[in-house]
Amino acid sequence: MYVSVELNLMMTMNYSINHRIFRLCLALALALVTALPVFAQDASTSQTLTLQVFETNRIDVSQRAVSMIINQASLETGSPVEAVNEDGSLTWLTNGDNKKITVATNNAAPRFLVKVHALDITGSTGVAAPEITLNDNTNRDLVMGVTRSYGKCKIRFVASAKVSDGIGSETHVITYTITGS
Amino acid sequence: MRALFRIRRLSHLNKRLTFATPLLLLLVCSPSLFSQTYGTDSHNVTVSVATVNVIQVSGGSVNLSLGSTAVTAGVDLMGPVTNTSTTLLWGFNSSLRKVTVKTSLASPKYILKVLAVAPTAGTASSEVTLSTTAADFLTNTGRSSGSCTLQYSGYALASKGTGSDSHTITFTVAAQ
Repeated sequence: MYVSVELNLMMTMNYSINHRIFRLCLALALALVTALPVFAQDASTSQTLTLQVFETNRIDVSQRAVSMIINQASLETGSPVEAVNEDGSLTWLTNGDNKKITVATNNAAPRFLVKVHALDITGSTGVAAPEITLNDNTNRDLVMGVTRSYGKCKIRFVASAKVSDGIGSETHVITYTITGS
Repeated sequence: MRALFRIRRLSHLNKRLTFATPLLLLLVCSPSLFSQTYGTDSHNVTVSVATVNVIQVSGGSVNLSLGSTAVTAGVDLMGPVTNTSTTLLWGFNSSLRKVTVKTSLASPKYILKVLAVAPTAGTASSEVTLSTTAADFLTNTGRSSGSCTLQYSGYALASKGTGSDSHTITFTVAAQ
């Protein structure tokens, strides 16, 4: 009986202590849960982005092949009549400053005369140079004052021959280049 | 002698049993003994779940370079150049939430757009041309967690020349 009473007393004490510890832990847990807003994560995030634009130059010609035939002569002079072609166009884009467009043939000593001229320039900037005679293979200015612009023009070719040039055919490779002024 | 030893053993055993019996009884009866009620008490337990908003960009900073590709002669607009190397992740336990996006750059020289690609939750808005005004990026993202790919597209006008823009892009959780 003595042992039983002593055990009961110990059990009561243990229960009381355990109950207090339990209540303390529960209180701490509730405090942590209700304190969540203090530790809530940020509602926004950021990142760095850099957009870099480099100098870009682009030029395209619409006609890949131009055929010009001189097969008539003037009754007054007896000289062959010029052949003209305005079917082709040139388009360009540059975001650089102080550019120009040049033209050149690969034919260093052409037999028959070929001239080229930029007509009807549209776009933001660009001024046509005077008509150019392609009598050697050096670069000649075609469009001047091209700066941070895009544009388009018609290409006019004029081919002519003298009676003394006789008959025959010639092929030119015409190259257009965007370059610094 | 043998009988005596036996008696002694029996006696010893008897003593042990005599001592152990109450203990045994205690152990056997212990469940009933320890289960006696000493009183009852009760209390209320309240669990509160606060608003949780988590949003994060993974993948670091982004670099876009616009050069000779994606340009057309005779056309002022250059680009786009695109980047899809970063991801947006989020988790919201509130209903009716959306994500907005804006840039810190007030007067950009070039055009920058962003689109949420393949979101695992929510609805992607149309591609946003970035400005300092927050615009809807993702909608219907309440009570969800998800991710999406960030698709950035950069454009430039040839007439704007060369250079670079630096942006700080901010994604924000907002009420829908």
